[in-house]
Amino acid sequence: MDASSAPQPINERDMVERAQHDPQAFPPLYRLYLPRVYGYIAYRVGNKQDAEDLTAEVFMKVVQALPSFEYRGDGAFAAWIFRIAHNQIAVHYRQQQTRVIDSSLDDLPEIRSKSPSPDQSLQQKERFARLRQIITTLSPRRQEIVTLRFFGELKNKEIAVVLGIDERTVASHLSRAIEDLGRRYDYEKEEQAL
Amino acid sequence: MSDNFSENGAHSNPSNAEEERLLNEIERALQARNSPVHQPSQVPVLNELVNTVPQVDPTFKNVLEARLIDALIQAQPPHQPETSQEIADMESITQFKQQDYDRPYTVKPRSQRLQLAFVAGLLATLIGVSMMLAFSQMPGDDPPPAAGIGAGEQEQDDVEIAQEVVTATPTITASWTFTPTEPVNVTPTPSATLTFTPTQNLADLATIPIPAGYRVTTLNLNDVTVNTDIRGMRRIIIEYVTNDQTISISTQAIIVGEVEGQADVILVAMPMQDFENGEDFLQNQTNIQLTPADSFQPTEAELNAMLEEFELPADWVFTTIPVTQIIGSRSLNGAQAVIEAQIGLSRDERRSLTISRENYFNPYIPRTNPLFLGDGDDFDLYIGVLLPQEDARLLEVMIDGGYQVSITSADMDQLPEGTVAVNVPAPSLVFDDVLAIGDRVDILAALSFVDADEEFQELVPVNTSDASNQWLVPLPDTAETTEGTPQLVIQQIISDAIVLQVSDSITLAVSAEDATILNYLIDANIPLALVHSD
Repeated sequence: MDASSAPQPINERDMVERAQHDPQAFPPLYRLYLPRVYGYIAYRVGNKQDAEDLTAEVFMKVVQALPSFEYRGDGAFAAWIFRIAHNQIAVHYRQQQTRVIDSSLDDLPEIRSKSPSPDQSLQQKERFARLRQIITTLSPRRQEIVTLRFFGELKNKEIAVVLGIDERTVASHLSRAIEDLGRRYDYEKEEQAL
Repeated sequence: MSDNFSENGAHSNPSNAEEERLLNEIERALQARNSPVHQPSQVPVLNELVNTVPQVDPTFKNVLEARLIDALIQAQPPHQPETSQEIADMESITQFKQQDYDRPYTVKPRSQRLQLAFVAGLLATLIGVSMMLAFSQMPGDDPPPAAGIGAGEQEQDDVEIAQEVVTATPTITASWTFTPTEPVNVTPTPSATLTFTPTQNLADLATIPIPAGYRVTTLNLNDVTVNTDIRGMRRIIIEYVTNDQTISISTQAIIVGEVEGQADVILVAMPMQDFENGEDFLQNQTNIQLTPADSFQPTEAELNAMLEEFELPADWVFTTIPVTQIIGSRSLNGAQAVIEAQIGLSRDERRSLTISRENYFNPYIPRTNPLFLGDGDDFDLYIGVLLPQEDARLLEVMIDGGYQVSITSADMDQLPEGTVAVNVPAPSLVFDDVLAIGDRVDILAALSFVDADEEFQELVPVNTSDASNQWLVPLPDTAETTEGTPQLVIQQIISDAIVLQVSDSITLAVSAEDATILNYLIDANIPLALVHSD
């Protein structure tokens, strides 16, 4: 492929600035971030309905504030949108403090897969539930970092901005969280095998 | 929590090499997720993390996208003139507005109470403008003289009213809400979003955004019966006489709505440049014809010029097809044409032909304005399509054999799987609450049933005098029958329909079977109610 026909990298700054003035330019930005925001929120709240409601609220806040958003370097938009999501989840948890949620498999989000059969779909939901259960054994901060990294697909630097901590601290938390998760995951596998 | 690691991230016994290795492994696992050749990580939990990613529901995705774009459109600041031409237009409008004060075109005698509520709407709220003007004229007032004729006291009253209403600056963005059952008099405002409420049940539902460069005014129509069905893009031909010459202006305008109770006065938004002779045509208009803009056909030269933009394969042809239904909420530019038809001898044989966007050519739809809603029957809408010859022949068979052609606008092209879209005219509906896109609703219908004798398929008691009587239900409300007394039954007919679009009609996503029932109910003018599903 020659240079002229090579796909041009998407300039997020251009996308954001176009969307600020032209509503029809917003969908590419939305489609870029929706799966990431939804994935992050789904793991944080654990059920499909709440995840969709919160995702809708996050994006509604994004479009309301978009005209006044100032782009301040690479990753600024991602950090901004996930900061909104992070805050929405915090509000959600405050409101849900007294509510006991007992989700059935039907209430869980679908898992990304190529044309899964109904059986496979259920198995994937069970995997989601187990994985989420393990993640919730981490401290709240590490839960945030793991979900932002793996489902929000944020870089450590962006996570640092979202959580207001140092990038190096994020990296340390992340590696320790994976170690902890790995131990627990292996332990549960062994338990199941017995 | 790890024993050698505090929550602020400080290590008591750091193992940087191990941490670095793990961070690299995380990075590799995340990159592998998007790679066509998936190399599993040696850390099992990482494989689990990168392969158990929640999937966004496509219906949720589409519905939310539509809502967000609507919200963005609402949040757009009013258009500010930028080019010299736009600035000149704006200046001419400002001057023209001043002339309005002297000669308001209040053209309709009014004997009824007249009210206008000017409510700053959502956009006005966003830009910090909040105002409400209301005025009323008591019943029994003498009718004012026609526009531009004389300057009597009554007209002076109208001038004062007009001056009150036109206090908005030329760039203000606001919402007008019209009291549905009262006649209103509207003075021009350069750029506005008009919220027209055809019935109280539809408050806040039917919004027609007025694009930048358009200006709202009222027009007198002669010998034209106006109803809300004409709202949307229309080609208007306005004739007026000046210096003994009849001058005709042909303009593409958006009919915003009728002035309720005054069938010959409508609200329109027109391109600003068509106001250049505004004083003349508003004061001296003698004849206005409404022509569906959609039936505007390009000249052969224009058509050829448009076709030259496409590089047609050798076996492809250009043809036009009539459209019976439009399913859309904003723009038909880039819309999807879907043609379904029953052809052949077998009733079960059903063919559908979807014309992809790339091959959809719409010279008969104004490209410059995205506002277009309604039923194609009202518009005589034709679309032009580019097709392989084989598909064109199939299309011809379909058209000859009874067909339905619908155009689905670009933002609504992904219906939930297994559903079809049905447009339900809003005036025949009642709602339990304000509907929003994505809502799930049940449909209730009020039907008059009569008892029927199953064996003889006849009404009970049997009416031997008229053999044509059938046992079909429902009976119309006005039916007079000597047979068994019709019973009005309210029944849930359809459950769990999804609201796709809310405007002066409601578009619902329902199963194909439910669509058949729904179309029957609509055709039979059966009163319907939409209630939110539990």
